[in-house]
Amino acid sequence: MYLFGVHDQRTERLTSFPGDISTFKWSPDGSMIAFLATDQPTQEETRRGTLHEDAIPVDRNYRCSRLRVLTLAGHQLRQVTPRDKSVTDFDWSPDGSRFVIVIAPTPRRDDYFFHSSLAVISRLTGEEIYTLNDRLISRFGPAPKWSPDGRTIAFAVQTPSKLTAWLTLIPSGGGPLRYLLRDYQGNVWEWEWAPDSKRLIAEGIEGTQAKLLQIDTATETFTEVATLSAPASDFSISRDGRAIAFLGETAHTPGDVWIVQLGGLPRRITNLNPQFSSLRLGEVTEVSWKNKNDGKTLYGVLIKPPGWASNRACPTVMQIHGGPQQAWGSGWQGSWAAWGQFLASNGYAVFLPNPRGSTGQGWQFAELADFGQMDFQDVMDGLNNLIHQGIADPNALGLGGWSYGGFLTTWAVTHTDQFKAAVVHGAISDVFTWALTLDVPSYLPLVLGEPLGHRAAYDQRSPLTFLQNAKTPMLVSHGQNDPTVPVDQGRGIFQGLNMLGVETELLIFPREGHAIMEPAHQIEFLTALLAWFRKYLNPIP
Amino acid sequence: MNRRGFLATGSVPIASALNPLLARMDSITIRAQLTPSADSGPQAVTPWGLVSQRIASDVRISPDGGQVAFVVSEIVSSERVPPTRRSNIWMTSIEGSEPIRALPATFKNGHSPRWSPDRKK
Repeated sequence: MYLFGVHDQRTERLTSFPGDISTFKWSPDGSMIAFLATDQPTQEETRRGTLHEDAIPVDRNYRCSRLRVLTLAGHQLRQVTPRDKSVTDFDWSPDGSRFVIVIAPTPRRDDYFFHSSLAVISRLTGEEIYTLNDRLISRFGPAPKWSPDGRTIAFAVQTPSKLTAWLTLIPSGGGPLRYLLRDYQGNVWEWEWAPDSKRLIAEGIEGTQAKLLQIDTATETFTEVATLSAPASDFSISRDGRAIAFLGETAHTPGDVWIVQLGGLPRRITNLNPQFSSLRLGEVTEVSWKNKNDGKTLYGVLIKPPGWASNRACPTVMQIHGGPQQAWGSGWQGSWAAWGQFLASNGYAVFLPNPRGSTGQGWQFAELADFGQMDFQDVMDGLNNLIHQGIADPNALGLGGWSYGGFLTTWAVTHTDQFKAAVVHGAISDVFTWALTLDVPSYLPLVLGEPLGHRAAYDQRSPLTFLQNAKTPMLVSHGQNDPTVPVDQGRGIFQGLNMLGVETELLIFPREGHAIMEPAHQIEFLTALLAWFRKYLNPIP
Repeated sequence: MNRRGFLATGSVPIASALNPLLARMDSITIRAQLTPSADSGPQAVTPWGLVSQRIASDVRISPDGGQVAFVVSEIVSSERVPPTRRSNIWMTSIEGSEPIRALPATFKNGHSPRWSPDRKK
C-alpha cells in the first residue's frame, strides 16, 4: 500500500506487509487506513513446505482474512479481529470508533456465500458491540455501508430462498430491519449513501438496461437518476453528492469513465479504446418475448451482423450467460466470455437471452433458476421468436456458453438437434457429481433439493443422462484447475460424444480455474470458437 | 503536507533496472498492433483485437468532484514472453482532459485508488 501525492507526484510506502491486502478504506478523518489481509504461513508451515510435507488438509487449518488498522502518524499497525474469524468486508463508523464487518466462520467460499453475518465492533478492542443474529447477510448484494450521520447501516439480507438479496436498513446500534425496493422490477448491484444520509444512490439492472437510482429512505420510494450502459457496478459520488462518476459503456465502446450530475445527462469523459470505431460492429437492440407455456415476459439482446439485409435470415448463434444469476446488458458485448460483437463482426446474428434465474426482473425472477426445464423453454422460445421474425435462419443455428451457459447448451444439444454447432467452456454436465464436488456445496441443494438419496431426480437434470441423443458437433473447453466446475464435467461430454461418433474437440487450459485469465489462452479460445462456428455455419459475407 | 491531494493505492513496485524486458514494452507497440491500416475499409474484430482492449475499473471521483482516478489494465507483450495484463492508475479531470497515468513507471501494477477525505469541503 502506497500514498501518492497528486500534486507533488511523491510516493510513500505505507506497508511492507508480507501478503496480499484486499479491501482498504481511509478513516473518515484521514488519520488511519483499515484493511483486510490474511496471516502469513508460520515458520513451521514454511519449513514443512520446503520438505514437500505439503498435503492439503481440505477444510482445515484456515488462514482467515483479518481486519487491521494502520495509523499514518508513526505507521503503527494493529490487528482488530481475531485469527479464527474471516472478515470479508467492512465499513468505518463516521466517528472512526467502530466498524461494521461481514464475518464468516471460515474463509471457505461456501461460508462466504451462505453463512456470513453482520456485526458492529469496536475499533480499539475488536469487541463485538452488536451482532445480527436473526438474519444472515447476503453476499449476492453489496457490502454494508454506514450512513454519514452515523445512525443507519445499509446492507443486503438473504431472501428466504437465500439466493437473492434485499436492500435493508438497520439502526447502527441494532434494532428492527427495514426492507427497501422489495417491489423493484430490477436488481440492484451496488449502493452508496448520499451525503445527507436521507438518500441512497444505487446502481442496478432492469431488463437489459443499467440504471442509477436515487432512493428516499424515509418514504421508501425511488427515482431514476439516469439510464446507462454499464459492464459492472462501479460508481462513486462527490462529497457534495451532486456528481457521480461511473464505469459506463456503449454498444460499440468498452468501459470508459462517465460522469452524471444529478438532474443532468450522462457524459463520457474518456475514450480508452478508439480502435473499435473503425471496425465492423453489429447493431445492438433489446428484445422481449413470452414463454409460450406460462406467458412469462423475458428479455434479451440481439446483435445484428453489419451488412445484414433484412430480407434474408441470418446464421445465428445463441450465447447463454453463466450464473444463472447474471444478465446480458444491451451495452458492449466483447470479451473472451461475451462473444456478441466478435461473432457479429464476423458475420453472425447473436442472440443473448436472459432466462428465468437471471437478474433484471426483480428478486423473485432471479430465484427461478431451473436447470434445463422452464429456463430451456425460455431461451428456445426467444430463439423461435427471432426465426418467426425472419431474423434467425432455422437451418443455421449455433449456441454456446460458459458455466451455467455451458450447462444449458449441453442440455439443448441432448434435447434437440436443431443446432449445427456448439461451444462450451466450464460446462456443468452431471449435476449429481457436481453437487458433491463444487466449492460451494450449499448452493445446489437450494435449487434442486438434497442430492444424497435423490440421485434419480438429479440425473433427470443432467445432460449426460441424455447424451446418447446428441448429434451436434461440440467444442468443449475447460480450465484444468477449475474448482467451481471441475474439469471432469467437460471431459465427460467430450469422451461421451467420442463414443457416439459425434464430432468434438476438447481444449484444456493449464493454470486456469473457472475463467480463462491468461491473454494467450483467451486468444486461443476465441480463435478455436470462431473456427468451430465457421466450420458448421456459413457467416454472411 | 496537504492531505487533500493524496491517494492511497495498492501497488507492486519493481525496479525497472531489474527487468529490462518490461521497460521496453509499452502501450505504443500495443496501439500500433490495434490500429487497422487506414485504406482497407472496416475490418472484423479479431481475437487479438478483443483480448487486447483496455479494461477500465474502480472509477473514483475526488471529494471536490473535480477529478477522477481509475484503473486501466493493458496488455504488454513481446516476442519472448507471453502477453500479460498490467494495470495502472490513471487520472482525468471531469471536463475530460487527456487522461494521464498517475503512477511512476517504476510501479509494475497499480490498483484500488482511494482518495483521502477532505474535511474542508
